[in-house]
Amino acid sequence: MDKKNKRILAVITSILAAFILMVGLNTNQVQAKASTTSQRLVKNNKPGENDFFVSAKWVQNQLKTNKKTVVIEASYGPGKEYKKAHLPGAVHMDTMEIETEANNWNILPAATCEKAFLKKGVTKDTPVIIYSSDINAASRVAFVAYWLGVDQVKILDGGFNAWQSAKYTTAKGNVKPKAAKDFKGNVPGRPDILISTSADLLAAQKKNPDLVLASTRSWAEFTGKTSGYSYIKDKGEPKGAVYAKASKTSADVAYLTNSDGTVKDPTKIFADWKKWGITPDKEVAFYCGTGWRAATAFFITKQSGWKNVKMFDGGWYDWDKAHQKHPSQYPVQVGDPRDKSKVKILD
Amino acid sequence: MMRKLIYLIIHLLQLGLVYGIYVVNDLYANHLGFMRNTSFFSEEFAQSWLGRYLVVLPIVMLLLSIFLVWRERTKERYLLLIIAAIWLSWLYSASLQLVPIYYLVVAIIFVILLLQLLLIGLVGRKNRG
Repeated sequence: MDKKNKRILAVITSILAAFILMVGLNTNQVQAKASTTSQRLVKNNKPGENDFFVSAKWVQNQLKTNKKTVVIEASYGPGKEYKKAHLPGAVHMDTMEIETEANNWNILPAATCEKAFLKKGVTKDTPVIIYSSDINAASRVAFVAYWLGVDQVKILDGGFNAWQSAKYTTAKGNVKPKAAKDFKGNVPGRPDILISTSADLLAAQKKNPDLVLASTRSWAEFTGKTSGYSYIKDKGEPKGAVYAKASKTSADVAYLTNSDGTVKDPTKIFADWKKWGITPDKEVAFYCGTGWRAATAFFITKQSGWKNVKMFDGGWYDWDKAHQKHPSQYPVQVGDPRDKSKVKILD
Repeated sequence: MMRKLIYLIIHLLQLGLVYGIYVVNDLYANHLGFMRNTSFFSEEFAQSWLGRYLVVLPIVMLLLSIFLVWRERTKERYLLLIIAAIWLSWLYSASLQLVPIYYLVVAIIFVILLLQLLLIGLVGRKNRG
């Protein structure tokens, strides 16, 4: 074998080795440490009427006692993980049934969402329990159900992991939902909780100049160091937004959850939010990139008794698009807004 | 011996890339972030200069393959011709509207094609040497 051939062989072998390594590499799942009751928002197994997050034990009991209950596993796609294991009787809902790229990842019109829920057998008076391996996906779908006007919407605290940790039975395969025909109410039943687009936000701010626009995005996103998403080019926040500490990255709400995925007791985080003027006595509109993280913050505050909370669904994705078209109408802040010397206003 | 090993490794890489089409399809169908990124960058690419004139490249590659086969008829050159024809037919029969991972498949087949060209180049060099 001559020198040239040896070199070629070495290069090809290295490429092949790297390829095999990439394909075969398995990331070890770190076992999440279970949180104690004192660290959780969900304290007991008897939720109040306004409680949204519920324990696995409550869900288990609800499934036994109320046969009308519909359990929805919420995730993007055809339900690959759902088919492997899910709560007994649970149906899968693809998040694309309630939002699309063509609609700027905003929640689809109420009539479309109504159809999606009717297909799952959900009407206004159907008790609904939603769960996911991603709290934000569960909250997002739960938000739509709540906005439509479903009377009882609950989210399984800790998601599927909590169910498995409790060692309750699971099922495999696909469950065909028993569709319902009539929602038994006008949709959306709770229109006030949703601020859909950036134009709607301007209208809401005009109606209430004291509306608090609370960003649940990470600090790096909030201060314009990153857009948080490779499909959003621009960095910044809508002018006037304040920081609701919730996420470490664009894909989590790590400050709101324990390591086992259950919702944290929000007392400390609310104290942090207070410094930014985010308090229960005000009208607060939470937003993030496209309305997933904000939905979780929405339900945590609702459960904690905040009366006037909303979600600005369009978020940074929609505001940035509006800003590109009409910069002065939709101004952007980049930097820490508490310090005028550190913030840049783009208008 | 050396030549056979190169043949084997490159064809294995090509098979790996064919499997890669299944992998990206699965990622697109089941991972939200991947889907959103693919969707965004595909639209961006479609509107770019390269995206608009992409159809020219497979025609050039097909003509090159025909030329190479005409010069010397070997299995590897015929394989190149087949891959180039598949690439061209994919570009014309499918579209981003029909297949969301359209450009990813285009890219994967292009790499397979380049590997085949590399193989022909290496073999040619060996024969001349």
